[in-house]
Amino acid sequence: MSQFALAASKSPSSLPRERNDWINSTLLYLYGAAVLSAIFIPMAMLLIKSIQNSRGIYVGLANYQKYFQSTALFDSFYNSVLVSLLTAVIVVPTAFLYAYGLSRTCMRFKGIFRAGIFLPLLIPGLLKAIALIYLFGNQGIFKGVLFGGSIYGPIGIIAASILWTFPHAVLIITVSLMNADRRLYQAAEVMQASTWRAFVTVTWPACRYGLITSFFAVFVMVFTDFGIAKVIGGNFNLLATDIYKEVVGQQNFEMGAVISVILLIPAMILFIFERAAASKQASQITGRSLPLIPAVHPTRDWAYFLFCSLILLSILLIIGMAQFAALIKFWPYNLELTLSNYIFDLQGVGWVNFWNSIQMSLLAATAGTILVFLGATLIEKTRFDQFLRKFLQLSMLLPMAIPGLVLGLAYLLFVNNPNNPLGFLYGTMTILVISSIIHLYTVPHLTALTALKSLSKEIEMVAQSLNTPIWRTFFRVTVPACASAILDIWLYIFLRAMTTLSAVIFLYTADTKLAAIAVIHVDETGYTAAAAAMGMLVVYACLVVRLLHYVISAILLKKFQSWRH
Amino acid sequence: MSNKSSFLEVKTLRKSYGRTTVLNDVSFEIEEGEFVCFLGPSGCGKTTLLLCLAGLEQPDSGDIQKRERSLARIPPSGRDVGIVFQSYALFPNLSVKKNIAFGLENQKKSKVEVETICAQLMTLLSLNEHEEKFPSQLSGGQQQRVALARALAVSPSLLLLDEPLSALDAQVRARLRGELRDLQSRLGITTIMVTHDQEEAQSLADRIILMNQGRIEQIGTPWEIYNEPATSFVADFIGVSNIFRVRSLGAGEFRSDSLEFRCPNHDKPHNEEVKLLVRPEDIVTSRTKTIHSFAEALVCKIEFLGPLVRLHTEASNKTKIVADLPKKAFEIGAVNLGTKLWLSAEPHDIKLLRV
Repeated sequence: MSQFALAASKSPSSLPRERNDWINSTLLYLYGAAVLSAIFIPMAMLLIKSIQNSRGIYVGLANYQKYFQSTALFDSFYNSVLVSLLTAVIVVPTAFLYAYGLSRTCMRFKGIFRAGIFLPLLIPGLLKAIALIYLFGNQGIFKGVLFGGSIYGPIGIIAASILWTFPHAVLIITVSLMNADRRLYQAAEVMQASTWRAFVTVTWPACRYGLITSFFAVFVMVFTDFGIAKVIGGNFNLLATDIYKEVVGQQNFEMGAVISVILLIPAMILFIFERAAASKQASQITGRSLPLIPAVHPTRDWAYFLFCSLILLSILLIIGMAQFAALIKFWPYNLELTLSNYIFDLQGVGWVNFWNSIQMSLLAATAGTILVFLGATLIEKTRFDQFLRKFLQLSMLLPMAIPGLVLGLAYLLFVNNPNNPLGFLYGTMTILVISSIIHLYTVPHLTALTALKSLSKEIEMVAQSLNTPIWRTFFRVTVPACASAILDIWLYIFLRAMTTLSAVIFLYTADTKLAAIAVIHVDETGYTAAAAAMGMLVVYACLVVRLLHYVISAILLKKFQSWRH
Repeated sequence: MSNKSSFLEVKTLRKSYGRTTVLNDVSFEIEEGEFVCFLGPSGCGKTTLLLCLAGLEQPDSGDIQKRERSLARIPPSGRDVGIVFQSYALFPNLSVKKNIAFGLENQKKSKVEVETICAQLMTLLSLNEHEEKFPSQLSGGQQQRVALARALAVSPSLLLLDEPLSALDAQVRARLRGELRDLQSRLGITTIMVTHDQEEAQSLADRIILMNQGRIEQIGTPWEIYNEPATSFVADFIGVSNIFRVRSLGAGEFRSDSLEFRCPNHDKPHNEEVKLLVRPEDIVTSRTKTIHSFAEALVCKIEFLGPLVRLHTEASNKTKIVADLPKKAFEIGAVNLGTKLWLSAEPHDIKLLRV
């Protein structure tokens, strides 16, 4: 029966539409029009720009030709691939061990390790780079460790990238490790399989797609990031920094667009691989498995404890160093503590940037959460408009494949276009909010979908036969039942909006400059201590919001615990 | 209730998904107050049919009429039906009482009225002590009753149940079956239940609509369906059956290799191929051939099923025949593996099936 029931929910070809359906469809079209144009129109502008000259005249592939003739491309491309690959190769196995320790051992203080892994998510990428410079730079504490090698360049980029991507990889792998059926291990044990054989036949098949997914995810993150390389990269050129240099340094938008397209293509391809692996992973989760309860195994547990402590200590060391950098008078000559770095008596930089960030992130998180959740509900619950829903579903994955810097440039070209009636958005907070929401869209969208799918589809049918208006079901049942997912979405957008700058670096003006951007500028002028202080402000804000989220979630959980098992 | 003209009439309903035909020319009528089961194997179209009645699925052609009014253009909310799904689909974040009251709140009823109806339903379905609990705190059987109460709250004229008992364990299922039937006859509400469990359908339904591959195989009371199955599919699906493909010798005699049936009540032209059904409990065994014997067979397996003993036997042409003996008719030791027995059935116990 099930295949028919499924088909039934998919193709109610000519069902009579009732009021609820009309409301749903109208909203779906409005939402679709808004989101699709926010993604596709700027990207189209970017593509067009790459085949125009500076006066906007069509020049075919001349820009590309020019770019391919220079050796810079191959250097940058090679460099980008190299650092991304090395980072992924280091991060994935390490993250696997960390995730394994969290989910499959009985090591002590798991709660701390689980919470600690989120710390790097609260830190702007640049701040990590600054901390690394203080640790290993020309005047760094551990300079000797590099045996004369320089932190400025690939080593620094890779180190900071590892720190940045590590928590993401751990999260992905942990999910795949949780997908374990106790009975499979019991069966292996009964059949007297060795630990190794159990690992190869049970653990590995269950989590290999998680490993592949995390590998691609890490690779793409590093491949498309530019903030880290900007601060610690020295003269080591990457595709992403090239775009920044062309656009900000030379005002050469055409070339920026060309490199963007060149960056976009591999990012897209890798993204498709990543999604394929992720969906294979998802198809393995049956929901009927018994959770695994790890057995006590002192040697192993202590080994993992040591390993995870080492990782967590490195993370804490970096944060500690960043905090220290923000508090000392003059590195490394005068190590007296002072708060004067937080005064920011610099041209064009100050607390206002921090408040801008807060304002922007609050707006992006709130508007983004509403948009994402409403949109996902419409896509999931509308009974008609098959095609549009499918198309939206696919399009919502796209933002993840578009590097933030590329999207940012596309938005710049979009609002700067003299023919654009939305041109007034240039230089406003609104455009920063929009580009941030679109840039971060995919993950929250998938979170919302997962939460919505966990509600029985038949709930809607029952509500319908009880003659309930759609908004009542939405506010009385759907929203409360998805409350924790909604909070998670809000937090995700807020944290990412606070700490990332790639989507906004081309779009700010003096009035809307954000803290993360200010960090770059201050760093460029050489006041590293003030840059660290500005970065730490972001960390404080993120920590406070993270704790608030924790408290609110706990209260909600307590309230709803009665109906959740 | 006194008006026995048809309450619901389904006319030549068709539905297909791409090339798969799910409903093929389905027609039937249901009277007011009846309890009807749609019975059939997985994929036979019974749930699709139910969803069509609820308006949650649209047939490609055909019509559904309730009290002689077509429902074709009427959305689910206007059809005055209550529906209970296999998964119950209770609102997880609402208490039992709020779940039940959910539909009432749309009807602009006063608070007092809502309270009264909820209280009545909770008493009726013995949910009183659970009114403030959430669905996840209830057992499967209790959840099922809440779903039922929620559907009944808006006093629909038709109650649709989609396999409401199949998610429960055997004992609870048997108890709830009784409660469900009891409740239905007390309220007198016309009820349609989808099930794949023939025992459930037989114990509950006034009439069974038996479906296979999108078609109705037979409509009838449980008694008719069991005793006068129209097709070999029905005979096979309901209960245990011995079906024999035989050739008519005329004058009510049929034969296939070593099998010989004499049933003057079924007169078929010479040489026509037909299917005969003999239920295991209608078979009598004996050591010697009798007038009604139709085969001599070897006992291959003996199964003790409590009140009866099931003999699996094999005739000389390898045909497998199952015979059930009442416990009292079975002598331990007298019949063993390898014992040769004559199997007989009285003519009126031999049914002719539509081929």
